[in-house]
Amino acid sequence: MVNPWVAPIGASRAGAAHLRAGRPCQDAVLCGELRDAAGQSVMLMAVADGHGGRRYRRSEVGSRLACETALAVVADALAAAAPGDGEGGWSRWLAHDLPEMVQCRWLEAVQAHWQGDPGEGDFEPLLYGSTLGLVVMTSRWWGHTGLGDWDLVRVEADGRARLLEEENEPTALGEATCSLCQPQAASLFARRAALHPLAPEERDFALVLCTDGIRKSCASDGDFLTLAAWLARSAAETAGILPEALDRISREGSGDDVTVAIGRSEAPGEELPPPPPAQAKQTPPPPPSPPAAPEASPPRPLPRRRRPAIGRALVIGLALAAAGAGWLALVWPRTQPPPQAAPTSPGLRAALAEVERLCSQPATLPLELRRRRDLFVALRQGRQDPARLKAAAASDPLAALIAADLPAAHPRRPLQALGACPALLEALSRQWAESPAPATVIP
Amino acid sequence: MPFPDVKLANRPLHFLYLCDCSGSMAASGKMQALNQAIRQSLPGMAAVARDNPEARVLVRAVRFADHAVWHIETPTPVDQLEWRDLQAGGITAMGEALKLVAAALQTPPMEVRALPPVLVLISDGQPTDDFAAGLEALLRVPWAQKAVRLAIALGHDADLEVLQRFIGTEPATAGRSPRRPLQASNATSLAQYIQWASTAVVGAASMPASRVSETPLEPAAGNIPLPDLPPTVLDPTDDVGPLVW
Repeated sequence: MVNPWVAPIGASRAGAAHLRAGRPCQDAVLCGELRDAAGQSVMLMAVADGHGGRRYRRSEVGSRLACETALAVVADALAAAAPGDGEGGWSRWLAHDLPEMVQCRWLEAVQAHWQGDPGEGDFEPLLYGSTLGLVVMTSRWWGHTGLGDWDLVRVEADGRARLLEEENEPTALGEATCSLCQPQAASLFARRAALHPLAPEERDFALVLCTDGIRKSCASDGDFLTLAAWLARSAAETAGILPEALDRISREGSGDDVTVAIGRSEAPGEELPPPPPAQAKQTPPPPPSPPAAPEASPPRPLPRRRRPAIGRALVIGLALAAAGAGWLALVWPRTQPPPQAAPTSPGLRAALAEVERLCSQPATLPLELRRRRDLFVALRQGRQDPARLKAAAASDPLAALIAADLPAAHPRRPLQALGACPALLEALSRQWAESPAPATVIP
Repeated sequence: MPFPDVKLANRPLHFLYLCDCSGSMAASGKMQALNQAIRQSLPGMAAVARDNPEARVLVRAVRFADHAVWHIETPTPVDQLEWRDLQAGGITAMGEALKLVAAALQTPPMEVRALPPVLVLISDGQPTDDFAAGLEALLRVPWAQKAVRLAIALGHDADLEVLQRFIGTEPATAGRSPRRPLQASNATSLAQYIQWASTAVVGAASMPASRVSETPLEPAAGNIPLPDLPPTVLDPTDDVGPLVW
């Protein structure tokens, strides 16, 4: 079976604030092409973000070793043998076996580094603290795993982008994040791990894996998704554009280190990937480039070589966006018009406006609802009074909408009467499904 | 291929003063000292903001006496801020002030990518309303949980226990004492604390470094490692002003 994945590419740049403070880039990226036991090509991309505080003064080494360790662990697992029961086995491997191996070998690697270059005080893994995000891409499936504040975006051939993964840990408050240096690190991978079978009809998309510096540089999640789609499309044309783009993102945004890795699957019949290498090959990040120009560069002619299908489709998607055609709205059309009569209650007005707002930004809907996860759980478990939340719709319309949508016996959902779009109803349903009901007590 | 039409932005850093304006603040020049301390701290705060362009420092203030109201309601860039004097008079609706701030820290209007906000509570007395309900409302808001919360006690009558509950408990770590409310005994030490909060703390909060979430069961207490206090403030005997509250 031909692997539809094009060799992933990535880049990592020191943030503007780090450069000003004379600090190194504490992010790392590694993209590689491996072979499984049957000789099939397998792609891998990893990003890592070393913590920046004084306590983590070797985190730039920790992040590099995190990526290298991940690649080595995946290579070993592929070379040894596939887990016995197909995708279920690989799924468990992503969630449990691989994390244990990665943590164990990362700890060995950072300890070895310390022994080779001891610093002041005693060794502790905290000095090397780093996150890790990892995507493995095979001919039959692709999967992700890791821990910490990385983001993963899927960009479809028509330009739509959606966030697949973000850190959602209750303990990751403020700038805190999960880290390989924590004793329980291996157990934290499972909630960020998933395996996705690769269906023949959906082999035309890109995956954008990045450290938190990129998302934090964007004014909104909509901007972030548009930027991810552009990065995917640009990288399909010219990998060299990444360093320049990342410099600009950090300079005009968060000032943090910025790192991205991009994997791309092509539909059958498009340009075939190059023949697999004789042995594991690592693709280093592109070399540094001069600083970006202050203004966006003018459109360039398309590359001479045949561009993959996703590239063409993304051009269409982005062109629509640039023309103000509301491409997101086209993808998720609203089928339920809001009530025509002008509401008199401030609460109802606020609720209708909130429905309108949410449905105008379908791509960020799941994120907005996930941030209210505690409220979903509290309502499910009867710790929040839905009537009280609905009565306070004027001050917190989203909470009122969530309360109104609390699953009940009657099939018609009240939000339909408010003109909720299918995307909103679906996102609410998904969030309810992830919110546990109280355990049944058997007398 | 041109850069897309996306909005890249520095991250807002919201700095909120919660100022006690009860009648007792009129005594011994406390109100005047607070107004002067805040006004004098603004140039330093603006300089820190200029040095950290990745953060957009926005200042607001709440005054509380018989009721809590916004003194500066619009988040105002520090370099555009003109401090209007607070006036003392009334009782101490501190709980109401916390509820007011809790509402302002909801998302929206708070930006998802804001930096952890800095909340500075300044009081010389005891709350006269339901402080516990106000604190509970505040700490239910994720942005308040993420915030750097500081408290300055003015004089001997300030309720240190209440202020400690506002800032939360943070255990002692290597080389550092547990966090306590700052105790200003005169105009000079108050000015130093305000200066520290508006410069050193704002600087630390402007460029936060990511860090480990300590354990999955017990969230880390401090969101931003606080910079050290200046030595003169650490040692009260080193700096006794003309008037002791």
